[in-house]
Amino acid sequence: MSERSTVTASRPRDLVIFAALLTCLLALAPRLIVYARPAQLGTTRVDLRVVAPNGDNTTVRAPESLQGHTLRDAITRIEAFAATPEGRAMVPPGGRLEWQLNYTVQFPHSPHPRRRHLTTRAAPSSP
Amino acid sequence: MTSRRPSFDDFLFAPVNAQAAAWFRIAFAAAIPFLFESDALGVPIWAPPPAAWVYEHVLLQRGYTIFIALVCAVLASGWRARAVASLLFVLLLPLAGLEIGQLSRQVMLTALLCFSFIRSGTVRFPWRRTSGGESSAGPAWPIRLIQLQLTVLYGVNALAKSTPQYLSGEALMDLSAELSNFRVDLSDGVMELAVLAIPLSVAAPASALAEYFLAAAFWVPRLKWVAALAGLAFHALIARVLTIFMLDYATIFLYLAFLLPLFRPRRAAGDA
Repeated sequence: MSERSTVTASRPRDLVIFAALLTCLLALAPRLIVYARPAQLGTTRVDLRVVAPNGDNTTVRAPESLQGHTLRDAITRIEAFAATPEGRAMVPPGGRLEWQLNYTVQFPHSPHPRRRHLTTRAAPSSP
Repeated sequence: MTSRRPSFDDFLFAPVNAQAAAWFRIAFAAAIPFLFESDALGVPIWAPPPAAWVYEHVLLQRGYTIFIALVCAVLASGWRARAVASLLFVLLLPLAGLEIGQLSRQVMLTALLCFSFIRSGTVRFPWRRTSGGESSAGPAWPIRLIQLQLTVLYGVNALAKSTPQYLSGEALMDLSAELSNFRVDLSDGVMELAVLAIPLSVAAPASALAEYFLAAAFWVPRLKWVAALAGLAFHALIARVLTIFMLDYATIFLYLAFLLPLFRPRRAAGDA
């Protein structure tokens, strides 16, 4: 194999380019971290969508005890609340409830927080 | 017969096999149109009006994607390969700013920039036996940078996961609830794979360990094929749990820097 073992015809110059590129590579490395840590910023605002049997719906703020938690805590609390008599009483006859969770996430590689919206745990129609 | 330890100088300046470099060049040319296809993506929200106009009317148009593919075809042919690779880097750089796929684009752009220092056009048609398989495509250091990028990619993710919160599975439980990228709900602390129900307190440390292994094993010649197979399995598993756009493919593409015979085994002194 013939020896053409430099890019710039000078090993010191090659080493400078190598070091510069390696520095850039290492500096950008933290951007490559994916899904290693929770991304939620702030807490969750929970709204309650009450859907009538004919599809009409109104959105109201959910009880204060469900507000201001992390998303997972909010879901856990919603599940517990929906099982209480107070929660079951909120389901309109023949209709359903939808829990809307509003929160913000921050991706490690993006400078912009993004708003997320999750509709979850739609309660079954009351018997 | 005496053998010599590879030195730091060998590590950076050993000649790159031109035929393998030509295969790598063709792989770049084939992968880039796929990994950079952008005409269905939206204008980035950070872009001020003039830049947004350029994104909307030029960079995110089907015609630009086709133009990139044509430049890739020229790269594959080996004609002025270094200049074409550099041009391709410039053409693709604005696409690194798109909101979706930033990580895979960063990985591929860094690899392409490094590869543009390789004289991969020394051999234009690597499948021809007489096309100069013993000639050099330049020094090893650009390829070493691509290899180091793969190590850094797995390494930073393994390090980021080495926290009590991640290793206990708590972080994955939160993330699966927060992010729509997750295909499965892990909030109950269990990951279901076929008939297996794996506690996240086991799955999370296993994923960190896998990334430590992948960061290191490619550097061990005897383990590099094992690492490649383990890496494929690892990414197939990840794809079942969450979507990370093109990062899986870009990462697997970097395996070629280890798997192609870019460096001939050193001959021991005295071997004729």
